[in-house]
Amino acid sequence: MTANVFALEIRNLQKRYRRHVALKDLNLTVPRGAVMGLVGPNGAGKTTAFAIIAGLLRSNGGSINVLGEGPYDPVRHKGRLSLLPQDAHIPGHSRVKETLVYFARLQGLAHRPAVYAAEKTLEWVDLSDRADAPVSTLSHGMIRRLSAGQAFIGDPDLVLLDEPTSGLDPRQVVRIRELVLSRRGRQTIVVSSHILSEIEAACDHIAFIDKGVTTRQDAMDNIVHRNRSLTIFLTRPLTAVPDALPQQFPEVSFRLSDNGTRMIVHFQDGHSASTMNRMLLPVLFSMGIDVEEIRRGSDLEKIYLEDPANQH
Amino acid sequence: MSREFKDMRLIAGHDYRDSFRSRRMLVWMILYLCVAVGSTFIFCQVLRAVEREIAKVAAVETGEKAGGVTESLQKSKAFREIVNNLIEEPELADQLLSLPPLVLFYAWFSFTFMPLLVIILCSDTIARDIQTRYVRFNLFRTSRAAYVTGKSVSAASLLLAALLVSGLASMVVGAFRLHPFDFFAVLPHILFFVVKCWVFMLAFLGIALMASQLRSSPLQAQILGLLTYFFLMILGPIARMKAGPGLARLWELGNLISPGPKVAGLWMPDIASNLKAAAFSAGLGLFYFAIGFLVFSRRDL
Repeated sequence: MTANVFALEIRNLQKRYRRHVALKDLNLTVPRGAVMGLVGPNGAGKTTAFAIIAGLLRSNGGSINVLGEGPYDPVRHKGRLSLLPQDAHIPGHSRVKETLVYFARLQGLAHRPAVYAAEKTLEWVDLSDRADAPVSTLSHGMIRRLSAGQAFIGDPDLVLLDEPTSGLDPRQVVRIRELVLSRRGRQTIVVSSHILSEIEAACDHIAFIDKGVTTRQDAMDNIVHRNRSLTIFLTRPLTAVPDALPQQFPEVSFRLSDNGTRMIVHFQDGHSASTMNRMLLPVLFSMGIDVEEIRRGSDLEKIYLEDPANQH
Repeated sequence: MSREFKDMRLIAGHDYRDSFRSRRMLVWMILYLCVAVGSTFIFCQVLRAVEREIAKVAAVETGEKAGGVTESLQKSKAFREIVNNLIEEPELADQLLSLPPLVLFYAWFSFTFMPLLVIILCSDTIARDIQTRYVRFNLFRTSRAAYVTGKSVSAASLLLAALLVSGLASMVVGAFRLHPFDFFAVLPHILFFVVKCWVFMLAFLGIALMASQLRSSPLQAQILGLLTYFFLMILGPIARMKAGPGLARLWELGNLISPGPKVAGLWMPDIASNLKAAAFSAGLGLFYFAIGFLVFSRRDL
């Protein structure tokens, strides 16, 4: 049953490096077709978790179910899983296209489809003009795009992206995000990143990890309360929530944050964000409160930082 | 064809092409070429000096180039008797007396010194990929067995190419420095010894690949490879001396795991001895490779 629902299930995963505990009790369930964001500070265990899922590291306990067929096995999972490793290097003398063809063939593709897949990937990561160049002549951003591209070659069912945007300039960050978004629904993608706005923009599920433990995991909508809250950015800060607001909307809770520049509005499941906007805005304007911007849900960054489980 | 075998072939082919691009192949070729040219040149010089001395003592004529006196000597009955007395096995003595001096030198030099080159050049084969974490791009796509086997096949092919180059380079130097020198008569002997030498090197390749799978640093792998090489080179003769009845039979084990003693069978003229020695060398290589893989297959990468 779970084989049909989850692309990845991790239960009580543990990993020790001699005395250092990298993973203490990691639990994760990733639905098929989801884009799951893995968020946590440096050393939280994200890279270790990816390496164990891909069969590169051995765990000291717990269980992993990859694509409903047990822990990673090179025969069972042939061509169905891929990884963008964080600190791995493609040899500098390797040619760009040839490397992708090689990876595609190892992924299980025959020669012609592998060449086709490599060419499509090069187009996709905007490196077609560097197809015959040695990897050593590419910039850091280009290498990162090439590495991201190789993770999608052969259309694997489960793609693990470890810090895909690290060290990239803003334009390249957007490009990587677009790459991930273009695959949403077609493949299951698990992506780790420090940039919470990126995770928020690209992922529909999220898990917080800290010190090798999953502190929280849910659908993005539930975490940021997209369907139950609004964040109103105010032009002028308020010192307190005007009394009239809770009186007029007794089922709605109001709270100020960021020195009174933001008003967080929580409402019941029966309301939608648009009806709340329609009802709330005229009242705010009538009180002389100017609004700069309204956002559905709360800021992921704020939720993450305010979550007691993530406090050090 | 099984998926594993296909992957192994793919990895070997990619690694072999990569060795061209990375200039690893070029370094190997230049190194083997230089060693072959240099050593053959020195051999010709030494042979020339020895022949001059012999010619002086025997009061016979010697030509401009080396080789003439040696060839006459090889054919002389007295010399053949001396060699037969020195070497207890008449078949081996006949074989040595029938081979051209250059072939004798090439085979001796290759059997003696090329193993060290193999250890130095091959010990980082897999360790380098572990250190740069390049393995992480590969090992979720294929099995660890297919990966290391592919890399090993590529290293073995590279070795064969390097030995061929060194054999041909020796022949070219011989053609210029030795007289008489029948290129086409020497060629089959050299090629035969290239193949024999390659099979003998498989044992050392196994040691190098074992070290490469055990360590994550190329330098550490090279040091481990060299230490194992020197240990086994010392162990072989000691084990041969100490082996005897009773508990001393345990020393035979030392003899068995040392690649050195296997070379004797490769010098013999009969195919049966050659095949036995070749099988032992290849088997020993596989044994050391398997020890490395036993750890590699379970280690964190």
